[in-house]
Amino acid sequence: MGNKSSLMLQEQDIRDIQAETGFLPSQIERLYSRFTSLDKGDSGTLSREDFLRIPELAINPLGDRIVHAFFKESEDDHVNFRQFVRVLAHFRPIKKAQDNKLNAREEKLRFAFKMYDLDDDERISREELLAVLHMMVGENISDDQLNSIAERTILEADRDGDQMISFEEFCSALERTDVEQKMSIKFLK
Amino acid sequence: MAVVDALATVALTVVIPPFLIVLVTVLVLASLGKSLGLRQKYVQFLLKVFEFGRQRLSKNYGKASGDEQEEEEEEDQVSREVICRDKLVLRPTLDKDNNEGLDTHEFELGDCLDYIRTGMEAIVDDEVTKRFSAEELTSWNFLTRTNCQYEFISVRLTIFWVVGFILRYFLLLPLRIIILLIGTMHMVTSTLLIGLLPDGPVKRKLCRFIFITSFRIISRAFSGVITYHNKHNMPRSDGICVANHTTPVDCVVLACDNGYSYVGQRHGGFLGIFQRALSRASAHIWFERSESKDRFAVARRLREHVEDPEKLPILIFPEGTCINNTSVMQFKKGTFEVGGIIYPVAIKYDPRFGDAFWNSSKESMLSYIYMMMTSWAIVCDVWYLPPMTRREGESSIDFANRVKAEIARQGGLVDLVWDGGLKRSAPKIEWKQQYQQEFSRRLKVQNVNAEKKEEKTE
Repeated sequence: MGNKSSLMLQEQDIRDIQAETGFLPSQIERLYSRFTSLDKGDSGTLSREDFLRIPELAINPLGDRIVHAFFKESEDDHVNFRQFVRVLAHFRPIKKAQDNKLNAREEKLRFAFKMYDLDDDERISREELLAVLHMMVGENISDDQLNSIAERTILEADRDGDQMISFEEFCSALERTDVEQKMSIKFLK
Repeated sequence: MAVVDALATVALTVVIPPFLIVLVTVLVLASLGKSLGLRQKYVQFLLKVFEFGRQRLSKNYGKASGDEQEEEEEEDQVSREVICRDKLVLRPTLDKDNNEGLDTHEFELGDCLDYIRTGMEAIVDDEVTKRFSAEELTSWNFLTRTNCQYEFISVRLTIFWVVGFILRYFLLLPLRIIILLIGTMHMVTSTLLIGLLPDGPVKRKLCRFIFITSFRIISRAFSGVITYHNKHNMPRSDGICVANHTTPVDCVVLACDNGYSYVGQRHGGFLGIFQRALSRASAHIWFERSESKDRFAVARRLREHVEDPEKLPILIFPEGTCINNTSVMQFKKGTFEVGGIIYPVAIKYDPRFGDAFWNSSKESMLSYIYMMMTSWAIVCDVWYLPPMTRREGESSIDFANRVKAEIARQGGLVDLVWDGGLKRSAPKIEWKQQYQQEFSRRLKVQNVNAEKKEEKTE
């Protein structure tokens, strides 16, 4: 239960969001409270600056990409609350009892895949992989060494020989990784 | 004419005497440092009312959501956390344990998952941004500014709210404005008079007495109920007093017990009046922000002041900006380089009676004062901590962190590494670069090129 924010969230909206994402009403209200506190301009939407104002996100090497994930769905470079919650829903822990489309293992993997696949062509090219590598290592590793890392990674994952990683190849590469645990956030009730 | 006469007589007989009585009482009590105990009783009464309100609310919310486990709900109301954070939280300084056990591994596609999750966690709940806005209350305190339509839940609560509203705006507010005016005038005139005296022990004693009296009057303007702990550790003129910063009212709160010399940004407007008045009576250090960038000048003036036993102890807020009293943020090391004794003081406000935090980006000084005077009261605890000095071989940054940890521990506040300056500016690039370095160190990199070059030269 936040401050004045709850005024603007209708019962019907909460129910719709609950049906779509699986969040509990109390969690949705808390997230709305957070949304409005990030919304410094009181416009009902968030811009990229609003996200990057969070210091912990600004110093995250993948910060820009993470912010970008929110804006993929929006047309006008602003994120409203529905879109905000929809993205966060991917990180709900998987519970067998609650069958929900958004936080299934495949959806989590798809989210991670989209971190790499900037041009949305369902393939991770060498350039895209290099871009992410570069974000994560900064200036500490030379371009040549990064190139070799990228080539090796693609070589290992690529099955159909197109020198790019498709979503299926990505999933099999991460078969042994505990994606459920790494891509889940414990939302408190 | 007769009507005007009648009105005038009424005014003189009805309005002026009570005003004079208030004036005299306030002045006398403040000078003697005594209190009628009215404010304490008022605060106790308010607590009972809040408790009633809270029980009422949880009953009603229990009904509304059809949840029969009321105890669980009460527990949830107490905790304000949205998520349970994982170990990997990105901070400006890398944790030491991250550096140990540098086992390198080859890059995998899944390496970015941890960063993604940490980023998402930060979006949902981070340690820093919530320090720059008013603390969220766990139960309603009958002020509209902290509610979400609570007043429409039950008739009794609505009545309480209305009564409280009338009380605060029509009884307390005018009274408080009068007291504030009395206090300001008292300070301005008495500092003017003291300024005319020649320097010496008499002037000093009088100065201290006048400061304490003026600030006591002003604290009554907010219905300040301040509890001082460990008075034997009170700062003396041979050192610097440091405290956590929530609002300019911190100065008033501390000054009701002891005279200080202030260090700070020169302001105009209402605060400026006080600054100039204070400067007439004793030595204070006021800066322009542009000038304060010259740290040597700051340190020099501080040192000179500290070494002069004739002067009042310096009061500094090393955070450099107002934080919302849930945490203590990074202490600027300048104060801790001066040498000398540091007297730490922890101040903790009780948020149920009114939010003391001044959000300088959201409200001006005058609207902040207005909010203060229409709150219930300002209730706070002040702990004087034992004096600390820098140890052999300890850097000023470590010393600053040590003092900060003590203050945080005593006040029950979260001890943060983050810089309060993040309220206005973006984090430094170096902090991101640290994490990039850390990640690179753990990557096993094959020196492919080195081999190729060797082949070419051979």
